[in-house]
Amino acid sequence: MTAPTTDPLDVEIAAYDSMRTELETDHMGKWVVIHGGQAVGFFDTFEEADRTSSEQFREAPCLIRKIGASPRTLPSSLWPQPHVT
Amino acid sequence: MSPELGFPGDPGRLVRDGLLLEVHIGHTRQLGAPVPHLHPQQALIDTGARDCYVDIGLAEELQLKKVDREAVTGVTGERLIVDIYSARIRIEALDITLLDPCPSYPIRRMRGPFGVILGRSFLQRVKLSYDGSTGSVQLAPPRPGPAG
Repeated sequence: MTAPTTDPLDVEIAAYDSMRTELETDHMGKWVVIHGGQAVGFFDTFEEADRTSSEQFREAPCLIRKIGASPRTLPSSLWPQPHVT
Repeated sequence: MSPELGFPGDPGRLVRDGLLLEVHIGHTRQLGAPVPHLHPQQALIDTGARDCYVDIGLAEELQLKKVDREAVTGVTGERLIVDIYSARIRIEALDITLLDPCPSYPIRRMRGPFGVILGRSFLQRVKLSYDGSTGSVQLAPPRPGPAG
C-alpha cells in the first residue's frame, strides 16, 4: 500500500474556504488567484487570472476560482449510456 | 469563415453521432513560447453543457495546468469531485481561441471518440445554424458590427 498523497491544491482550496465570506462580500463575481494560502489578485476574466498565475508562479500550484460561482452540473452527454444488445 | 459541419444528407447520423468539430488543445503556460504546441482532438458541441469539458487522460497527457477542484452534480444528484484544468482550445476553422477552466471527466472511456466537450461558454462566441432535417450545420463567428 502506498501512503495517501496530498494534492498541492488542497492548501489553496482550504485557504479559499477560510476566506470565503470575506471574498464573497468584497469581490463577488471576480476571479481570484490564491497561492501560498494568500489571495494574490482579483480579475475580471479567467484569462487574466491564468496569465498572472503563469507569469508569477510558473508551475507552482495556484487556485483560480470565480468567487460565488454557481455549482456545475454534469451535462447529460456525459451520463452513462444504456447498453444496447 | 463558416465551416460546414454535421452530416449533410445524412440527418440520422447527426442524431446518432452528434455535432463534432476538430479543435486543437494544449496548455496555457507562458514559458517563453508565444504559441504553445496544440494537439488535434475531436470535440462534441453540446448545447446542454454550460462549460467546456476535457477528458481526464487527455488533460494528464497534455500536462494541462490544474487550477481547481470542485464538486459537480451527477446523473442521480450525487456529488462528483472533479479536477479543473486550464486549457487553450483553438478552433482553426473559426479563427477562435478559447482559454477556459475545463472540468475533467473520463469522456473517452465513457463516450469516445471525442476528448473535449464544447459547451455554452464556447457557443456564446459563435452563431450556430442547425438544420436537423438535412443533417447540415453551420458555425460562424459573430457578424462584425458596422464600421465607424
